[in-house]
Amino acid sequence: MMGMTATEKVLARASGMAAVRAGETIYPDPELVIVHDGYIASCKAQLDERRINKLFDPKRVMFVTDHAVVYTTPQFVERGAAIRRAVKDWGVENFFDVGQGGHGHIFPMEMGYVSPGTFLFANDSHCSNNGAIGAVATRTGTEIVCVLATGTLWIEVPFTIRVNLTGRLQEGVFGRDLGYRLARDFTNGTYGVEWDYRVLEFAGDALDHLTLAQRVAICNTVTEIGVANVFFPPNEAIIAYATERARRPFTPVYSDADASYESQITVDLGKLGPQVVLPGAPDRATEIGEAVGRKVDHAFIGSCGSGMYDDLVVTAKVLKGNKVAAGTRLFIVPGTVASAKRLVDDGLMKIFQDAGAIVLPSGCGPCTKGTMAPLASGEVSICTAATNSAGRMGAKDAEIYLASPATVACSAVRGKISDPRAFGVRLS
Amino acid sequence: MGNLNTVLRGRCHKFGHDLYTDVQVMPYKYGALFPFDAEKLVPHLFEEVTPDFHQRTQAGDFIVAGRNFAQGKSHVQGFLAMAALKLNLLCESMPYKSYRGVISRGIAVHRRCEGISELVNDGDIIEMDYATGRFLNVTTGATAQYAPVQKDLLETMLLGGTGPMLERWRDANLNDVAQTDA
Repeated sequence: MMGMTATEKVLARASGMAAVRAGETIYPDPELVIVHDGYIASCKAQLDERRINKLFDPKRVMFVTDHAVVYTTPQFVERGAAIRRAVKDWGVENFFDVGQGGHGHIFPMEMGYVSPGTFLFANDSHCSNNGAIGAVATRTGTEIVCVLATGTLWIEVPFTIRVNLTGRLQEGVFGRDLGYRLARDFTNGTYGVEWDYRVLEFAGDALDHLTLAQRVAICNTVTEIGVANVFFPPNEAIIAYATERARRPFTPVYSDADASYESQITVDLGKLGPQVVLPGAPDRATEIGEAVGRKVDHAFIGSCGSGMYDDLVVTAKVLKGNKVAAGTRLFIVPGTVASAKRLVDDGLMKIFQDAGAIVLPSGCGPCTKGTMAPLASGEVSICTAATNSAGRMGAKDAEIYLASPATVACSAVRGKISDPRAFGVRLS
Repeated sequence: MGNLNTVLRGRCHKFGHDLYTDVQVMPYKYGALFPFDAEKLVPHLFEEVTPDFHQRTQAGDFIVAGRNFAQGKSHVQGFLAMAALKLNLLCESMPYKSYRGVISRGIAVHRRCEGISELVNDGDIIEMDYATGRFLNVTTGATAQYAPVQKDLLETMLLGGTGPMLERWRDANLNDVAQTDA
C-alpha cells in the first residue's frame, strides 16, 4: 500500500480509519474545536433557533476572544455579554474572555492545547498557523455551527504539494518574506501547479533553521490564496517546545517516504530578499526596492501572523535607541497575553515606549476592519496584517502594504518604506 | 436517499469560464448593503453578465458554467440568491470554499463536469442525475457520464443545506427535543 502524507495520517486517525486518500470525503472527530468571538453569539442564536441546546462535547470546545478585545462599539459590548451567556448555558470551560489567552491562532500552541499531530476544527482560515507545530487545523467558516452541534463536519481530504526548501534565509529576510513570495508565485503561475485547497507541506534541510515563529509567519501568509492548509514536520526543537507545555500526550506525525504528492516545488531561501506586498491583494509581492521610499502614516506589527515573541524581539532590535518618525504611528500587537507580560519582564516594553510605539492588547489589532487603530482616507500603512484588501483597516482608499516585522519596524523609524538590510542593525 | 428525487431537469443558462464570486456572480457592493436579504440580492444575481437575469429563470433551472466558477472570495450572497431562485449548478470546476458555500445553502451542484460547456447551449433543456452522474441534454440528445455525487453531500444539497440537515440531525439524535416537539 502506498504511504500517506502527514495530513492524510492525521485525518485518518481522526476519522478512525486505517488510511484516507486525497479527494475522499470524511467526517473527522476533532480533539479540539476553536471558535473566535466573531462567531460565538451567532452560533448560539442559530442553535437556539433550531432548539439544539447543547454542544457535542463542551470539554473539547474552546472559545477565544481576539477580534474585538476592547469593545470599541456598543454592539461589541452587547456581543461580549451574549458570548458570556453562551459560555454559561453551554458549560464551556475553555473560555478565554477579553484579556485572557490572546490570539486564538497562537496561544493554543503556546499553552499546549495544540501539539504536533493534533487535529482540530476552527471557524477562521488562519487556524492554518497550527501547521507550524505539526498539527492539522481545518477551517470551517460559518459551518462551525455544525461541528458545535454534531461534533463533526464533512471535509475532503486535500491533495498535498511538497515545498522543498534549500539554502538559508539571508540577514534581514524572514518567514513572512518567503510566505509573500510563495503566495505571489503560486497565483501568477510561476510554479504551474494547482493550489486551491491544497496542503503546502514543507520539507528540506533548510527547515531546521526555521523557528516556530518563522513557521507561523509562513503558514499565515500563504493562507489567503486559498490553500487548504500548511504543514511543517516538527523537528527536535519544536518537539521539545511542544513537550514542555503539552496538556496531554501527543505523537508527532510525518509523511511516509513513499507518500503521494500531487506536485513538488523547490525554493532556494538564499536567493530571497525582503518582500513588500503592494496594496489590494495579499499575492502582490514585490522586491522591497520597488516600494522603498513610500511615505507611511501608519505601521503595525503583530496579531496572528507575526505576534510571536521572536517577532517582538526583532522589532525591539530595530527600535532600540530609535524613535518612530514624526508623522508615523506604530502599533505593536503581541500575539498573546503571555508575550505581552514577557515584554515587561525582559525590558522590551521600555524600548517600545521609548521609541514612541503604542502597544495594543493581544489579539487581531487593526486587522479586523480597523475597529482599533484604523486608517483614514488616503493614508498609507505598512504592517504584518493577514491581508491588505481595500478597507481592511478602515478607509477604503487607504493603502495597505504588507511586510515582515523587521521591514515594518525599520519603515516606522524612517517614516517611509525602508529595507531592513540597510538599517545598520543585525536582525537575524 | 429516501424519497429525494436526484434527477433534476430544467432550462440551461450557460456562462463562461473564470467568473468571480464578487463580480460576475454578485457584485460585492450588494453584500455590503444587505448581506443576508435574499429578496434584495436576487435582482443583482449575474447582473454584470446578463442584466435582469433573475427574470429569465424559473425554479429548477440550471446554471452551467465553465472552469473556476465563483473564484476569488467565497462570499455567500450570490449563492443565497441562487438558492432563493431554486437554481441548480453544473460547472467544470470551482474553488473548494465556494463549493462548500453552495452546498451549505442547499444548491444541487456538480463541480467536476469536464467539458460540459461544449454539450449545452443557452436555453437547452437539460437533465442531471446527481446520484449516478448521468447527464442528458434533452434538447440535443447529447449525453455525458460524470462521477456520482456522494450520497451524504447530495442529501445536504437536496434537503436545503446546512440548516435543514441540522434539524434532521437534531430529530434523530436529541431525544429530549424530539419529545418537546411531540
